Amino acid sequence: MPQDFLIIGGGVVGMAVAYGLARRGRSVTVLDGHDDSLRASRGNAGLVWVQGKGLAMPRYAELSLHSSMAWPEFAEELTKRTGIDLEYEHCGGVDLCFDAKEAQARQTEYRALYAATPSLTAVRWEYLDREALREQLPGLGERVHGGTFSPHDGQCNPLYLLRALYAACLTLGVDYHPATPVTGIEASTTGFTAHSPQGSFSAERVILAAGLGARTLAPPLGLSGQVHPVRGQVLVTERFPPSGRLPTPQLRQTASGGYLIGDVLEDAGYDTGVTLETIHRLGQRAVQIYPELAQARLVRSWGALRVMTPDGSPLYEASRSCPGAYNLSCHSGITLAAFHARELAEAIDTDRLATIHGDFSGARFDVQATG
Amino acid sequence: MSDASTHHADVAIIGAGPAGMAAASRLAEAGQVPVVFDLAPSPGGQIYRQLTAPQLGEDVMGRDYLRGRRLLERFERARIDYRPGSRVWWAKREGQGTTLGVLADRRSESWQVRRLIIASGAMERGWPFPGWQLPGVMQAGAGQILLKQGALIPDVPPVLAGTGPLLYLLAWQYLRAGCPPRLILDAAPRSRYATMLRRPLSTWHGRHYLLKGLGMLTTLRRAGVKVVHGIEGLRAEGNPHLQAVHYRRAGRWQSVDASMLLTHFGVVPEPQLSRGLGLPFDWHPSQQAFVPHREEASLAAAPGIWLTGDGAGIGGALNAEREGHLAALSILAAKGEPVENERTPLVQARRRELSARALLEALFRVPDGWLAAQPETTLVCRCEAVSLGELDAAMAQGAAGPGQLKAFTRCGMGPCQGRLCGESVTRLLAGHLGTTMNAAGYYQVRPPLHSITLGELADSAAPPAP
Repeated sequence: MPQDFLIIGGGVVGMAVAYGLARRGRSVTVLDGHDDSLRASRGNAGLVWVQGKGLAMPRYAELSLHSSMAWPEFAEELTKRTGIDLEYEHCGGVDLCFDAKEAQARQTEYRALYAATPSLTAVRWEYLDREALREQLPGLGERVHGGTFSPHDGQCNPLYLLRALYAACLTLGVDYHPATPVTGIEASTTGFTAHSPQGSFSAERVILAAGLGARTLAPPLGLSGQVHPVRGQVLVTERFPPSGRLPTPQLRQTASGGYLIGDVLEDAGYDTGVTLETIHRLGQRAVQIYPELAQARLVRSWGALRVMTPDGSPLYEASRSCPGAYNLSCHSGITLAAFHARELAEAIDTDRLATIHGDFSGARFDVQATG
Repeated sequence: MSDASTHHADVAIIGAGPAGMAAASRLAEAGQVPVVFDLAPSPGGQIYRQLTAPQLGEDVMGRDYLRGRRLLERFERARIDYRPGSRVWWAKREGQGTTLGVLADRRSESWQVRRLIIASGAMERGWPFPGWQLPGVMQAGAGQILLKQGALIPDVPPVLAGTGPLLYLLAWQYLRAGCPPRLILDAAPRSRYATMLRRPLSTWHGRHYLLKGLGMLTTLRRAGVKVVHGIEGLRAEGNPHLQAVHYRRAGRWQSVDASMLLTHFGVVPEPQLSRGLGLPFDWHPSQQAFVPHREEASLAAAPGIWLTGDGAGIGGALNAEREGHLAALSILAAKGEPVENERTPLVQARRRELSARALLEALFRVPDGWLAAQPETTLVCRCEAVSLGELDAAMAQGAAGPGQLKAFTRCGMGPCQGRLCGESVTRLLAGHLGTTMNAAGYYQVRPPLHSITLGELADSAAPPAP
């Protein structure tokens, strides 16, 4: 019996969809890369975030809101299945501003975005100045001007999310192959065959969730796979007692007590390294946000590559020339995990991806290119 | 990065132990002025720690410790840009050389280095057994640091356990200092010593070490220190402090009351700096350690990077000194100096020394099946309190590499940066996947290579744009 689905990529996108499909009774094989492959799933900050998402595409803002609403139940379900605590908190979050100009620009953007469609008027947010923020962010430094608060935002441990998805997939019979990098995919009358140095694997349908690997794997299947790397760098400090401070994209305290510092966007090609200049700058900004962190010891740092589409919004595409082949590319795999595991898996399973989520297909880039 | 705040050096040396001191001195004698970064406040490395102002005499520390004086004096005489108390916490190969982030006096400075000699030494092997995290349980090396730095001697007779020359050296030093160990638990079976008969050449080259070891053993025995050979298992127990040590021999567990246990399961190259620079490593089955690649003749690991001393493979202090010397000669040769006559005897002496090493490696092998035989509650990662059982569970859930295992369990995420659990994690994965140590792989090492605070980072950042 051939498998129903081959999923290329064992990151948080591939595993969420694998979980969703297996939950619907489909047989799934996941082919994953090497331990040291480019892995955004292991390099991100763990925000389940709504505010500011979709500035270029209100549909993406709707999706983020929708997924964040589904997250509490999703997290509970995974924990029930696997016993793994995702450290998920639907606590609200604050995106900081460092001067009046930034604060002004932010508010203007948000006002326009959240008036764009009727469903987005449900998004709640407000600008709070430094004094007002000190309640949610005790110890906030003088260099911070204020920030936008939204109750829809939250945080989780992205590594435990990934682990829980693995554990859940395992119990549902997903066939997972680590260290099996796919070099090419062939379409035939009965389905698809993926080739790797470890052998060939066949299924009726194939889903690319290969992160930046989409660039080479997608086009031969009639999919755009238009993604490029955008590097982030992250620092983690030693542990501290819980502070109750709300998460911010710039800095958050994790459930295990360390402060995670990030929010850098860099064009560095495929270099996942950390740079002296950026680490210094991140340290400086962390101390500006919470001056007491000057004493905190840096324990880890890493660089990781975001999987970025041309407009920053997710790319969900179904191939026209090779029916049964799909490509999923997005840099928001944590926030959207709840959506990926449910509606997206369902839309693929019922082969209605193009109908329901056509806005997110690669066609939008062709229009821009020719128009 | 090469703005005005970046320092430049033609030759930089990391570490001021025997290898670093020898390299620096030789280069200085040829008119070069190398920069030497070292963690400690005074030169000597681990072996000659505090030798600039010894806390204890030859009667306690032994001749080999004081032998370092000659090297130390040579180092202190030479014209060297010596920077004690410097932590190289960041390193990256860039263009023609290496960029270093060096923390000293609470400020991080960026250094652009054309030629880099790494002489950062060894560390004690992390070797899990139940209770190794208890207060009262220490590695023997830490015991020796206390001895050298502060003349600190245990106030109760300690139990020493493990394998390797340092175990007996420390026991002998404690005895001479008036605190004979309560018991020595040697993991090597007594029959291991028959190895010497099978390796006559190595035995001959290693006679200095063997006689020294035999002498120490005899002194310990005469003083009534009991040695138990062939320990198969070890367990430390107590709450919260160590109260008893249990050991298994010939299939039977026995116990001894103790409030201090010092363990030693050999030393391995300290990997952070070389791995952080992306230099390739291979599992060395005889040293039972990951060892970085380097060119045998020049000791170069990459263009502009030389690896010397125990950080490049355990060879001991004398070998480290020769390697430092050889790396200096490689650099001088590239600058057109005639060095061949000076090189040849060094290479020959080094070859003899390494032949003796093979014997020590065979004598003091750690048991490869040890980790798999530990109970599942045994902590592998002490920083994050991750047990063997948790790692097994994560591997069963699909963690198929060190990175994934770390992500799933937090193993190796703590302040020691995976130094203590890295080898164990590779051993577990190799066992689980039925593959080799090399194929199982190792953690990806990233900065900070040494501790630094956010405040120190902030103070070192370029001033924010107005």
